[in-house]
Amino acid sequence: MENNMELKALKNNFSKIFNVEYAMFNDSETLSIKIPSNETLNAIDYLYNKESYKHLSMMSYIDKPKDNIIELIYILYSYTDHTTIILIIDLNRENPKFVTLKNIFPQAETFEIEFNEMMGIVFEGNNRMGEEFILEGWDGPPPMRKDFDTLEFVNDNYMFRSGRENSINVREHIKNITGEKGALDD
Amino acid sequence: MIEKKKRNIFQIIDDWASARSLWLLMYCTGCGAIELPPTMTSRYDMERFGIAPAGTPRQADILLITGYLSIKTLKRVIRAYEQMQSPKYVIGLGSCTINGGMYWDSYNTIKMLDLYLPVDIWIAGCMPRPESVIGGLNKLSDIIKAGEANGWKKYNENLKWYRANQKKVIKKWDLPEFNY
Ligand code: SF4
Repeated sequence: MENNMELKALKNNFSKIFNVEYAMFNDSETLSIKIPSNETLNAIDYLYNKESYKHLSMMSYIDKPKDNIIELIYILYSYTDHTTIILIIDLNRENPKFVTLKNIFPQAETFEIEFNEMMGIVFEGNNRMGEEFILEGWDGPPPMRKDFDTLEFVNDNYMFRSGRENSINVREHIKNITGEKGALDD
Repeated sequence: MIEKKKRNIFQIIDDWASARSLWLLMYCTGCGAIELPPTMTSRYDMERFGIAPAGTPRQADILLITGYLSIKTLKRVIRAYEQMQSPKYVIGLGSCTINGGMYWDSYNTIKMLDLYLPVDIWIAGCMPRPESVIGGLNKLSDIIKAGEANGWKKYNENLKWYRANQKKVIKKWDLPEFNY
């Protein structure tokens, strides 16, 4: 399918105004744009006011320990053009920081609290930072980081039921102890 | 362990009566919850066996845990359990309650429910079908009739042990020490 005309025009304009790292079509109606983090607010302002991207459908992140970055992702939708723009920003993994978008998109506030808890990203200007969202009384590292070793954490914090020591057939065994027929026996 | 005490005639009648009228509180945070509507409604109809859903913990006899419990939900479950009036019974439904199931390496779910609450019956499976749920409920009703479903007594007597286990995983403890 032919790429959306409005989106193509937007891609050209956008590259002229901003310092775009790359811009590519995911499909005919979706455009991913990567820009430096200091231009992001202007870019979002441009998309919101000059273009028709009034809806923040989703925020997300990707942890990339090899490159020492966390990609912060804003997915914006336009109800007039029916197109989607994915804005991608690199944050420093040691000290991931960005500014809050809650003044433009109120729903961003909740996303930001969750990202702070799960990924350790700090959003300046959001005064609910550090609030508990899903976890209660969590004192470990942010659990969605790729270098968080879940298995090690589980072994340290939880007890496991020890497994069986023999190798008897379970169905035979159940039949012997209860004399009952299992649902799968005929 | 609680030794099997000799029951007097009143206790025997009591057990017989409560085995025939069980009110079920379903804690439906796990995926096993989806098997309960068919268990309750006309297809499998657990009311045939004298088991009906209850609205609140205080009116319920059985607490049915339908699967994995995160630390956050475990807290609520303990709260609900302690609000129930004894005699009360706990059923662990699904392999998640038994050994963590497919969430065995999750950072946020408990692996053995019986460390935190006294479980009277396990229903294994991922997820157990309504037949197994009803099978488990019938088994529970049998052991109540025989006077062997003493989980709640065990909980009262070993409260310290249970509390220690609970506090080990619930780092932010803000439950009352005694709420029953
Ligand atoms: S035992 Fe299976 S069905 Fe039940 S809660 Fe766990 S994963 Fe879900």
